[in-house]
Amino acid sequence: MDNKKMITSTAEIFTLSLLFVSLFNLVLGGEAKELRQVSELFSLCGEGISFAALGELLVLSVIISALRSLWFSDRFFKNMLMLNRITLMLVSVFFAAGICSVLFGWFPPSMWQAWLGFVLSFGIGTAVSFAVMFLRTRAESRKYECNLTAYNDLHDKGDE
Amino acid sequence: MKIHILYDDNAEEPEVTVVCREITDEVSRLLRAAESREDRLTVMKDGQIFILRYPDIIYIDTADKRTFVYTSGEVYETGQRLYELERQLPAADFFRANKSCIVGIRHIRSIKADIDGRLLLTMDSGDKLWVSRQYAADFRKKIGM
Repeated sequence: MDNKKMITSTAEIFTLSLLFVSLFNLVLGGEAKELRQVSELFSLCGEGISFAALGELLVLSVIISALRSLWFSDRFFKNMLMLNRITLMLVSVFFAAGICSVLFGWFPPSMWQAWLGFVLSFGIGTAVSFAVMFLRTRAESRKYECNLTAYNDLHDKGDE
Repeated sequence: MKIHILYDDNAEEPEVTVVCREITDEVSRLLRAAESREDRLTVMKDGQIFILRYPDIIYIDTADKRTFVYTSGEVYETGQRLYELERQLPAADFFRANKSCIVGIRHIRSIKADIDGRLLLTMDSGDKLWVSRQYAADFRKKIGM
């Protein structure tokens, strides 16, 4: 990925994360005061996002963009299926987001409910979409192999 | 170029022997003409010429404007370009997998479909080859999908 693409990718991820946090702020406006106690992201009490939090989200966006660039690079993973690359990218993004959460105090590391919410919100969506993609490509691969076997049998008979 | 024809009542099939100092373009053309009526391809390795049967070819690819022919355990080189080989090889047994590769269909061990429309082939030799989106459509048509 060249520099221009990397900057565009980071900008996209950063914009999406801002939209997501803003939406979260909007929905949980009434509870923002309590959230302020536990999360740096909501330190302005639903009035917006602090400069510190903007910087933290930008750091995470750069990390995600770099991971995306790494996993989608044909230089390192030429013979890896795209499905596997996406899976590994999401796992690495999951860990990167978890580490950022602890480092930047997005929620207290000792609060199990917050971790559960983090895992569920990240995990359920990706698990469902990946299960669908995995089953679809597996069925497609089987169909390819069946058709190839039939094709070879047909031509073997023709050769005899 | 001198041409000698030897008649031999005991010959089971026509046989061509080329005597030369090196493989020039003229010699290459002659060899191609000689092999064109048979299912064979003339290739080179370590300065020696070999004749391969088409069914023995697992795949052919190009790198740095050179064309390599892969069989079980051996890699040879041919002077022919990929588009020439594509025309020469039987369409029922070979197909173009991407811009730089022709694959022997009978030597495909497994196929994995990817979510981006490409296919990852594992060949009998264990080598992994990609079928690009562009050529995957032709491959699907060929095997009746």
